[in-house]
Amino acid sequence: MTGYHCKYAPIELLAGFGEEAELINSEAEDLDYGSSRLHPNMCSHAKAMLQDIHGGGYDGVIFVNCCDSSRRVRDAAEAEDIGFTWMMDLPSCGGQCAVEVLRGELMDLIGALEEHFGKKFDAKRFKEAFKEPADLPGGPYIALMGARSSASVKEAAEKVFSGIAVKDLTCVGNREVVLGEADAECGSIASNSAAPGGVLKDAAPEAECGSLEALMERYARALLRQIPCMRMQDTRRREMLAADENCKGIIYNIVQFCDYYDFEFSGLKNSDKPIIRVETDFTRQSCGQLLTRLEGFRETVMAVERRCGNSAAADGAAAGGTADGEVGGAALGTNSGAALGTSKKSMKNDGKYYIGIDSGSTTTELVALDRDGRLVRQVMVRTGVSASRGAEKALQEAGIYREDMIRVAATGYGRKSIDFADENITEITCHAYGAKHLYPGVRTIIDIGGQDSKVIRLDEEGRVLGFSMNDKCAAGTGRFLENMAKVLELDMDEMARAGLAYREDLTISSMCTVFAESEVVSLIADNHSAPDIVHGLNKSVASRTKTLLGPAKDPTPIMMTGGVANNPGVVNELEKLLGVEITIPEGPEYCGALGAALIAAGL
Amino acid sequence: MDLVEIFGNHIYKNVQDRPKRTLRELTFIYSAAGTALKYFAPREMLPARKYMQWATSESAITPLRHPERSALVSLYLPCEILHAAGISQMFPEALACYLAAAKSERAFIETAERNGVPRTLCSYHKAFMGLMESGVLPRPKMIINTSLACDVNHLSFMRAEEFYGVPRFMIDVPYEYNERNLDQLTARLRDMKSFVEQNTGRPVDEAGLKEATDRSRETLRNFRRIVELRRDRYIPDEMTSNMLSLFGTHVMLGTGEALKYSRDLLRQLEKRPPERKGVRLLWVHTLPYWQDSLKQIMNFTDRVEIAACDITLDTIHIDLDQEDPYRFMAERLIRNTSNGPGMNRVEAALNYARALDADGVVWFCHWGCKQTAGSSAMAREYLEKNGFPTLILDGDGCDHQNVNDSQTVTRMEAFLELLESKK
Repeated sequence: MTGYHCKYAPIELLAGFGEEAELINSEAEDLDYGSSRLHPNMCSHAKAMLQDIHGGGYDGVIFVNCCDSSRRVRDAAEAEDIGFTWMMDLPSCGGQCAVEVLRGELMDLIGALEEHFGKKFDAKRFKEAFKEPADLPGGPYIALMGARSSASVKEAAEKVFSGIAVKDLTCVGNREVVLGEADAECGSIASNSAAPGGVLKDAAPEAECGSLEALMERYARALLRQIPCMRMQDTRRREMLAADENCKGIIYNIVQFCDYYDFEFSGLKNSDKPIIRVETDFTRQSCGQLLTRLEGFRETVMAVERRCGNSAAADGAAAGGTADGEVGGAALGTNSGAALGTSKKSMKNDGKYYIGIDSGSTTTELVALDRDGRLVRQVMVRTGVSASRGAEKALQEAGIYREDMIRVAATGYGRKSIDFADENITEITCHAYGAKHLYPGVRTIIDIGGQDSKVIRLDEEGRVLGFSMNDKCAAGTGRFLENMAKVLELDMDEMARAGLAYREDLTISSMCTVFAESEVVSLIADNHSAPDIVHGLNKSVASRTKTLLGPAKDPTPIMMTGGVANNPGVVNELEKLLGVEITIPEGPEYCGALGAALIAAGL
Repeated sequence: MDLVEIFGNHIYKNVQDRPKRTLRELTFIYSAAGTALKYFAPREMLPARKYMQWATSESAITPLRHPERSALVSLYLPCEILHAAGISQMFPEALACYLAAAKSERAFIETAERNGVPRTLCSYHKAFMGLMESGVLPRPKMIINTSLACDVNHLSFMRAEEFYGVPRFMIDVPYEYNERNLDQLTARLRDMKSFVEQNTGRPVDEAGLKEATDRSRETLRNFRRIVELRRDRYIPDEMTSNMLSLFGTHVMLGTGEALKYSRDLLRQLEKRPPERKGVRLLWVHTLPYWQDSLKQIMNFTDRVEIAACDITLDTIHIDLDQEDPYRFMAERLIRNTSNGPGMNRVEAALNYARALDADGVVWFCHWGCKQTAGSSAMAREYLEKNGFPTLILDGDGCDHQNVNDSQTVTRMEAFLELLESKK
């Protein structure tokens, strides 16, 4: 089996030798081997690919010179026990010049393969290897775009959007090579496999009809005719990927440490189409967060579709649901809760409270509303080791028994572990509901919780327009501040106060949590005061949050929710950095739970 | 807080609202710094280095003052055609280095990241894109870039083309060195000349081009000899000097200034007595010359000297008797040690380390450079097998916020201790 990694790889040539080709795209348990043979900061797919090759599943690999990582994996693969490796150059410019360069590359490869396999290239078998382009089902779909997708991302997308097609339009996912007809005068193909190397130099400027060179010229043309990847110079044809009206939303996949696709994403994110950026590292370690984010995105897609009066696509998306059935999509459709009755679990008519539970990584918040929608209880407990136990603890703390509950909506990371919840909804939607209730007209919510920070943009009706979240890195989150408080031997209240009493305008230069910790230690050693250091940390969180906010036109009015909103030092810095005032509701940490309770109550 | 830091903070606060004023202030500071270094540089610094400090700052300022007669180029582009056409060059690495020297890069890196440029990208290019997108960097007349030596060239120059709306010319450098590819590349460089003519409206004087490539050949010959002399001639120096040499054998190659620098450096080296002091390092890739903690260890000290930086020398092995300017420039691209398999660069590093009689090699993984980082493990294995202890040092060539000072110091000092124990 010969492996390949890029859609420009000439895999049909292998069929001309009776050999099979396989896309190298596996996920790894970890990337330790790849990191040690390359570098930890290399593209995650490159590391996973090297591990795959190291695993011994391939007799040969055809590399394409399409990025730094592919070059370096090829270098490292030379040291592996592998029969054949080849690097095919890929011109990035278009036009006839590129075709000629690629034709030369293909001729060289044929020569090398003939030598390696010890047999002649069979042009007939080569031509038979081209598959007719698959007829994809019509109708609405979700586009999976960006860099190559790992199995986890595809599976998660298909699971979350199970009522609607997910089209893989990522860099290798949309490989489509059609050889096309030869010109009339070049109809017959002679397999005259010319000697490799120097072939072009002696050849006529245009390959003779019927020759292997003419065939390779056609093949080069076919390879280059594909929808370009972001490495090519002219990427205008990529616009068609997102322009289709049946494309209802875009899951934009970024592979960690691959730099190409963020450049396209930064343009696409301002388009009208719902889009979410997901970053994956070719391991299965981030599946949980990925599902949460995709579910939040599904709610956005459905909301947009309903707003556009396109119920078919929205219903299609809602019908699939997720494992637990009822992601609050129906409620989203009307934004009024009128559809609550469609829920699989019936309301308990004898209960007293509508309950919202926000099960976070650090704390669990519970909000209870009475039958008239009035706030009657709000409690916060430490989540501890289990989300369900944290929720039970919150109920006890609130003095609410199960029979008192009319309906329970859960949100937050642990929402799916709360077995007594009637429905679960992502934090993004719940924060939007909560914020709208607390401050009608709010257009941006900045939510900084223990594990993650988010910016949620709302329309004038309080519906989610879009959101951004931090990646796996904890910098800029409550956890970051907690860790730093430990280093400074302060509790969180002391830390919140300390940030306001600074004298020196220190800057913590490291964005990375790990680096920042050692920087704080150095600052302590240099006798800087705790308030100065805390001020530096607050600035760092503010700066990180500003990046999440992006270059939005006018984000005001802004409300801040989550536990970090109780820290006036961070809020001050954020206001200074953004140059606007930020509203902090009473009990900002309860906003998600309040939103969940409102959804449970259909308010 | 020192003066540079105050200036950096001032730029940070003003860049968004006053991009034009920011440009004026940066230009003034660069100019002042260049002049100051020419006349008031550290006493122990070689005169050739002082001169090049000034020449480099002039070459960085000229396109900022006269952008209508400038081209935005990539580091590896042979620029003799532009020198002959009287077009100055701006390039990301120099722009970012000057920003870092003025502790002003953060505002621009943040601008780029806010605009969607990935955090994992090369910091030089992030700073450059931020400079552009904040409205500070003026619009050049044209853009010319090569695919060498890394992915970022495909991305940032294309983005600049879109941003400025000026014509761009791209040169794909083939992976493999053979006659066919050399022919193609030579032809492409001739097309580059036509592109420059088209966009300036003036023919490029072939004689002027020949003079520029002749200067380039002499400059590279001088560097060959400099390597020979550096084997046993110590010079008190600082990390910045290696960046100056690097610019001298790249974008500035073919100018009278780069030639004068190489001639002076050679002459001044010849006058120095054979002498070795401390540990001698070969440095691979760019240098974090701005990092105070490293400066304290490396600059003007008897304990350690950087005998050379590999990028400076990446084309001195090619045929310097090649008279055809286009073929000579094509050879510089395709036979550059950073082109093709990673082993090309590793082998070259081994050759330099031997020629310089280095005690060890620092393989510097500048943030975002997959090209260099990806070869680091292979390089260490190979260089150490051949007797050269190698330190893989992660860092950043221009972003103050992306380094952990104490870790860098610990690694570097431990490496020096290791090398000292072997002497």
